[in-house]
Amino acid sequence: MTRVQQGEQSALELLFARWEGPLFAYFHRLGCHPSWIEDLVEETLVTLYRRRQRYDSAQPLAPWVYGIARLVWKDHLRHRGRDLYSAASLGDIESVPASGPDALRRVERREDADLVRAGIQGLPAEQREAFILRHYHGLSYDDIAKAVDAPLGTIKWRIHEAMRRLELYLTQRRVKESVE
Amino acid sequence: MNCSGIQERLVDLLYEELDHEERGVVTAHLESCAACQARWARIRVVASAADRWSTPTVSRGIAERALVRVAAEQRATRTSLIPSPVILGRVLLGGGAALVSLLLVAGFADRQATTPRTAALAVIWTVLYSAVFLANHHPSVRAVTRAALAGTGVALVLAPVLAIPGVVEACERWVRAAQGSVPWALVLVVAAAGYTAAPLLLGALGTRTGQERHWVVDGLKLSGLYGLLIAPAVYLECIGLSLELTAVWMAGALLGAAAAGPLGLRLGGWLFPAAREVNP
Repeated sequence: MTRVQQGEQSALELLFARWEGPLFAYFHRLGCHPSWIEDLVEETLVTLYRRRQRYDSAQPLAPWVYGIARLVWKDHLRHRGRDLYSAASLGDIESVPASGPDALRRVERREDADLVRAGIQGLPAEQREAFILRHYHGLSYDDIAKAVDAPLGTIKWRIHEAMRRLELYLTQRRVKESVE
Repeated sequence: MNCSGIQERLVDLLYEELDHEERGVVTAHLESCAACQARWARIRVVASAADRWSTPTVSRGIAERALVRVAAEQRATRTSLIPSPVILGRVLLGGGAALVSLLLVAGFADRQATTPRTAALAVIWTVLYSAVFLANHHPSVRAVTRAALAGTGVALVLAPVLAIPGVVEACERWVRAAQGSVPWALVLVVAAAGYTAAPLLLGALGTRTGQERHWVVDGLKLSGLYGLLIAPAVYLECIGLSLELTAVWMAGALLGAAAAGPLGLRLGGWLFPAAREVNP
C-alpha cells in the first residue's frame, strides 16, 4: 500500500488483484443483489485508490479496506433509499429464507451448509456483517471494530449473538426434519 | 470459572480471541464437562457448516475496469494541473506588466535596490498583476480593476518624470523658503497624498468609472487594489530616503490612495452618468 501511495502503478494493479476476490465474496455474503456486486467491488477499488493517502501504513490494511467497502455499500443503499441495516431482510436478497410453507420446505431440504448459509443471511444485518468479517475474512474483533466503527464490546456481542442464533436455527431445523 | 463463564468464551476460543491463560482454563474445563463439550460441539458444527459456504467465482475484469477508471482520473488530474490558456495568458501578462513597471521605477531607485530585492519585488509584482488581471475577468470587479490598473499605469508613467525623492527635495526647499512657518511633516503628508491620489483619480476618470451608490465602499476597494499595485513602486522609490521621511511619505500616500478611490468613483458618477458602473 505504501508503494501505491508513492504512485507505483504495478503496486496498484497488485492491490486491485489482491482485493477484488475478497471484496466480491464480502458483498456476496452480505446479501447484496448479484447485479450490484460487480459495481460495488469496482467502486470500492476506485475509492481505495482515491483515499490512498488517508491510509496509515502503521495500521492493518484489511479493516481499512472493509471500512471503505462498507461505506460504498452504505452509499449505494442510500441512493436507493435504504438503510444499511434495514437491508437485512430485503426480499430481493438472494437465498434469504422467505416465509411461507414452500420456502420453509425448500430450506428444510437443504443440508447443514445450506441451512447455515440461509441462517447467516437471515441474521440481523449488523450481526451478519460482524460474523462474516470474522468467520470468512479473518478479521479480529478489534479489526472489525475499526472497520465498522463500533465499540469492541459491541462487536464481540454481535458475533456471540450471531453464533447463538445460528446454533438455534440449525437445531430447530434438524428437529423439524426428524419429526417429519 | 463456572460453565456459564466457559460457554461465554467458546466463540472466542473458536476465533482465537482468548489469551494464553484463558485458553488454558477453557480447554481444561472442556475436558471434564459434558455440558460445555456439547455446546462446543454445536459451535464447531455451525462453524464447519459455515466453512462450506463457497462464493461464486469472481467475475473477470472488475479490477481491470477499476484500473481503467483510475487511469482516466489520473489523466484528468494531470490535465487540470496544466493551467488553461486564459490563466497562463494572464499570468504572462502580469509578468510583463511587472517587468515594465520595474523598468520604469528601478532607474529612479537608490543603488540599495539590490538585485535579490528587485527580483523579489518582480515576483511580488507579477503575482499582484496576475491576480488583478485574473480578477478582471469577472464582470462584478472589472470596473474597479480597470480603474486601479489605469491609475497604477499613470503613476508608473509619471514616476520617471517626477520621482518621489525629487518631490521630497522640492518640498524641503519650499519649507526652507517659507522659513519653517509651515510644519515640514504636514507639507510632506499633503505632497504624498496628492502625489498618490492624482494618478488614481486620473485612472478612474480616464476609464469613465463611476458609482452613485455605495461609492465609499466600492471606492475603498479601488483604493486598496491601487495601493497594493503601487506599493512595490513606492518602496523602490523610497529606498534612498531616511526611515522617518519614508514613514511620513507612506502615511500621506495611504491617505491619498484611500481618499482617491471613493472620490474618483463619486466624480465619475457625476461626470459620466451613463458611465460604466462598478456594480452595474
